[in-house]
Amino acid sequence: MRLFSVLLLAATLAAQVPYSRLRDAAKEPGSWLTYNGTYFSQHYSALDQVNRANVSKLGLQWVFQARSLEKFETTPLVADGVMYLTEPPNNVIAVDPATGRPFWMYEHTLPEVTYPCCGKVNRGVAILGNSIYHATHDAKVVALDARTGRKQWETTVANYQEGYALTHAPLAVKDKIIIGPAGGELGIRGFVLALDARTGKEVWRFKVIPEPGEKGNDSWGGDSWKHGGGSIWLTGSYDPELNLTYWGTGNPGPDWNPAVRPGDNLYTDCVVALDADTGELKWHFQFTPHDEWDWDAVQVPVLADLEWAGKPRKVMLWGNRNGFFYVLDRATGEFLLGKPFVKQTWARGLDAQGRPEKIPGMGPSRQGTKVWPGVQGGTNWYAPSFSPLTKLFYLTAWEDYHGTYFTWDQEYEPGKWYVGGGVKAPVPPTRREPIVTRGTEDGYATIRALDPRTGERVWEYPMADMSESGLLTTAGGVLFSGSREGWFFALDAASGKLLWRIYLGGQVIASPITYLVNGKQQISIAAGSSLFTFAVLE
Amino acid sequence: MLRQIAPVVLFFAPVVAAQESSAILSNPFNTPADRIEGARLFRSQCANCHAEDGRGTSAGPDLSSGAFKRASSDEGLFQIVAKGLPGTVMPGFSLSGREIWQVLAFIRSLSISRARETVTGDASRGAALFRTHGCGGCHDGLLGPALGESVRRKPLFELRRSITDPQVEVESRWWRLRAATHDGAALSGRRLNEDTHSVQYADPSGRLRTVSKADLTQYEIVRKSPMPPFDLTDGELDDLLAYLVSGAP
Repeated sequence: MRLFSVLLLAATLAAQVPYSRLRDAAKEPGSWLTYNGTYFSQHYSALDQVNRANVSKLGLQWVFQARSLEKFETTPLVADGVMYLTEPPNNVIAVDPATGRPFWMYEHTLPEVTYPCCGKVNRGVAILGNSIYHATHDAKVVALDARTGRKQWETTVANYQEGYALTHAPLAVKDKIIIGPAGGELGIRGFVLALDARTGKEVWRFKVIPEPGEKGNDSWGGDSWKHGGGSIWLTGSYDPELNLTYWGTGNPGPDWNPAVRPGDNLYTDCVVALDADTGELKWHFQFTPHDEWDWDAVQVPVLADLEWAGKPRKVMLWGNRNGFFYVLDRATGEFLLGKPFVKQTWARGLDAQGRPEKIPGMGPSRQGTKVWPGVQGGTNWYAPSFSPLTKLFYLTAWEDYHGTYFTWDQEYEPGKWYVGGGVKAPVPPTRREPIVTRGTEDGYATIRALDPRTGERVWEYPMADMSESGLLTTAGGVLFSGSREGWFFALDAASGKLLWRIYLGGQVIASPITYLVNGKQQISIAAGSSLFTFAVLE
Repeated sequence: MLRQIAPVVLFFAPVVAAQESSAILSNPFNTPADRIEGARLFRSQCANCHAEDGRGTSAGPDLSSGAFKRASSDEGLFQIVAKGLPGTVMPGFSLSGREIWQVLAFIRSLSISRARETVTGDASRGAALFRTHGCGGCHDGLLGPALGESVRRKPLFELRRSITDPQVEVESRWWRLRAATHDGAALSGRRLNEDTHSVQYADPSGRLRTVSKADLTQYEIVRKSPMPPFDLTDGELDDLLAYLVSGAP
């Protein structure tokens, strides 16, 4: 009997985080089990110990210092008393969330040079069963033993020398690990790939750029599909009831020479809804057909169940880089609403199907074309949030931000940049230095709360500089975010009023998470080169 | 057999070394044809951040001045292009060694062509003008830009314009602050830095201060330069420019 108990215990331990826990993660707010918190990716927590009344008493608990100067984009997981985070370029560290002390570390051996476009970044890991899954710049997925960090398997999913790099946290669904490659500036062809979680073997692959004979290939003139881009660099979402997994796809290539790729360029700048068992495309919605500005639809697909025209509806909320906010039916892909959430000068509006009515002459040109928004978009990859409490959708927006877009001819050469132009923007794409003296006419970041039923703004919290910080809302009525300036702060989610702030000094380019440690709520955020953890001081 | 192979190896050795190692300290691919190929590669691989003319954008610095922040030698620049710069958006590039040298040959040629801009004035007469007009009173790096290396690297037309019409382009780091606090105190000085909640500035005495925006009732950024336009003849302007680019001030 005792032996049986021990075996039972061992079996329980072996299935540390089964699929059922991921599926029901919203009911387990003491953990943070997926990159986006739950499969619905709302970046919302039901924890309310830290709330509007006491958030001003938050104080530092511990700091984890990364050994890297790269942008620190990690959003950790917390499961069963362990925090799993990544450190650039491709290290995974398990730390004690009570103290910040590391338990183990996995250091991935990279080739001397890899080719992620914009910094040797990594955004996090996935957990399933007893394993941690990590994706690397040399286009590998590695499975690690969650207890030891020992490698269990490693699968190469693409040739990194052709510009493929993996930067996002994988998504674990059922018994699969889903991933896709960055490289939209290097002429890759993107894909969403499911690996068997136990073996690392490929189960299915959805090609973002359809090949000749496949549906959608006729949206590419000539051979332009061959280097069509459509990268995947941010973790998708999943609806267990519909068994659909949703992924935002990257820009078509070459970014700024659209003349060489006539057509809509499917399935770039889309959200694709894939059968999680087979990878079959169930529907797609293209935000920016024939993109001329590099406006990847690489945003977190936020899933919510809303009352829509008097009936409950399964929707998807999407603030796109092109400056429009969208509401889609996530079962069918039907376009329900679209409205600009920042200044934009490239489209008159959206038609009844949600297709933009482009204003002629706003594409890149030899002499340069000034367009709002600029290349980083009205928003970008940083996580938005939906609070079931306030029923508001929140996002980090870049307002009054423009770029001057240039085009030139360029031949594809394997492994090299394939962008066909360039952009001059008044503000840098990411923080370059801690001194900022520009004027607000160059654009500014603002956190905006939108009513998803109308797309109307409810409140905003403007900042002096830009921001690449994700958001977190909680049942305590609080919204947490950070800024390029180096602040980490809490707002009243209902009004936008600033409740608490602390200067961390380095730019926040990640999303906050919250979880319980020994029954007490903590909040963690990466800033600069460190991960900071806060709790209410007694 | 070995004897037959040896010349071939020797023939290729410099190329191979240039491609595979950093042992070569100066650029082995620096002919006019290399610079043309370098220009082509620069446009396709570098210009989206550094601009077609190499003058830089908000994403990547000016590479046309001949002075670089992160490296000065060809070898150092080679390593940056090959491997990227940690902590920045500068990636490593999948270029062959030869291609990297060609890009560097092109980048070096940008500053050479700029250096060909010639000044015709007399630097000693320019020095006298500098003194008699009291330029040094403000150009101390505190109130106005010190006239050192950064000025010498400016294209002549920009330098000339900033003397004849100082208001045309006042860089934001020289903008000034004018503000008033709740208790009625007036603040002024050169704005050094700013964020959502505060402004860092140097007051007229040069003291470094921070003021919280929440404490201000009035806050204005003065973008005009306090420098008056100088009524100089063309000859005097040439003399002053000659002095400024000579490195003397």
